Amino acid sequence: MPHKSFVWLCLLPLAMLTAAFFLLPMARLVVTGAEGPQGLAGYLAILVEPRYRATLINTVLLAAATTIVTLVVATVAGMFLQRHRFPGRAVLIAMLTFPLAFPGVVVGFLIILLAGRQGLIGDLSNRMFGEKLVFAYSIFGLFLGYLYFSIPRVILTIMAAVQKLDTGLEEAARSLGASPWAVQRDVVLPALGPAFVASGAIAFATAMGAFGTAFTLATNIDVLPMLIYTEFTLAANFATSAALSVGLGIIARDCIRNARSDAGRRRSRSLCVACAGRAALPYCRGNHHPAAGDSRARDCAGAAVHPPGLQRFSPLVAVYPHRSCHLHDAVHGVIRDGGFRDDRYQDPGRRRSIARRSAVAPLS
Amino acid sequence: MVVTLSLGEFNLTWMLHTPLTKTLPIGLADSYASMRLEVASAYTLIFFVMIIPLLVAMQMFADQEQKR
Repeated sequence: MPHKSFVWLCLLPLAMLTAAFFLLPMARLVVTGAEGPQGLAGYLAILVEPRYRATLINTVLLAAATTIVTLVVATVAGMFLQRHRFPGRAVLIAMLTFPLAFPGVVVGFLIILLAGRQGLIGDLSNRMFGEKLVFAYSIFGLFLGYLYFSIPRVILTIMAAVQKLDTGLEEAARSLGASPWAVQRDVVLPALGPAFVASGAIAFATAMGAFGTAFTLATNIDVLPMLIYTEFTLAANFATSAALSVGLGIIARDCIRNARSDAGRRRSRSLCVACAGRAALPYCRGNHHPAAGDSRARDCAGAAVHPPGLQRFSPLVAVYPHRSCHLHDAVHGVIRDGGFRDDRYQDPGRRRSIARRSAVAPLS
Repeated sequence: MVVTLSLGEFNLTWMLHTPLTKTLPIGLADSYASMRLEVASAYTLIFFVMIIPLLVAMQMFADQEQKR
């Protein structure tokens, strides 16, 4: 059998499953959404009706807050776990990944056990302050539940990305005088950017569509999946619930797409700044320096301006444009001398001579 | 991730399950909802015992691969 038809044959089961369980139901859903009394205008109800709009904004804000806090917590934990080995590490990682197995309803119940009216926190605060603290049924309780099941989804991706980080870049920045915070801000976090976008997209989409936890906890608050559920089961408003479902999917997809394109645009813009920065320095001997707005700037940053060995340092050049020539000389000197070796930086005299040769002032 | 997510699959099962095809998450949710907390704790413990060794084993496997 020729290779191409074999590949198509292998894709056939997946195609059938996708068609049967995703495409056909989605098509039916879209059709159902337009079958209500308002027809196609029912699709705008999510934006026009004040109650639906408030619910939508609530859901988007909650999902965004969950994503941001999840990324912060998971990055800190993931970087530590990936770079340190200690007894019990595997068990700790397993426990952090374990909440993936819990259905959302059970996460809701766990939050109730923790912070509900008979909950642990209420009991403790009652004994300590005489006042029972109950927040399971508020937006904060819902947020905690979402955080609990989002962290496992994000932390594994972040740990994999941290594993792939080039520690040579961090060493280069440190040796050029950057403080530890500057190393994180300018080298590590930008390098982790794609992992943030990818795992953040998953966390955001999951938080937007999470039903089980909201079902258990949201008595006073409305989130979009709950609204769809109540319209479907209580009011038998099939058309409205179908239209809301399609709206939920489209809005989640658009938010994720915007985040992705924003991240991509910021990265290419910084490369243009690097080229513009180099052009401004009189002793830069590179041969072409397009202006910052020039579309060729994106291409030049990698190949033409830098010698081949400097490719791996281009992120540093991107973030320190006005020092890019100093950086170029400093790093090029290191490469000329035979590349990075750990013993090179043990000798303070050697370090100083490298810095002096390129007249680098400490980057703070 | 696939293993843990399949073990915890709830929404679809809740809609389609029968007493003959009850899964672990359904049992868990049922016992929490009816406030039989001792049964709920037992179910949660079963979850733990099933999944944690699996995840630990996967971690160790990944570490071994990395060392090689």
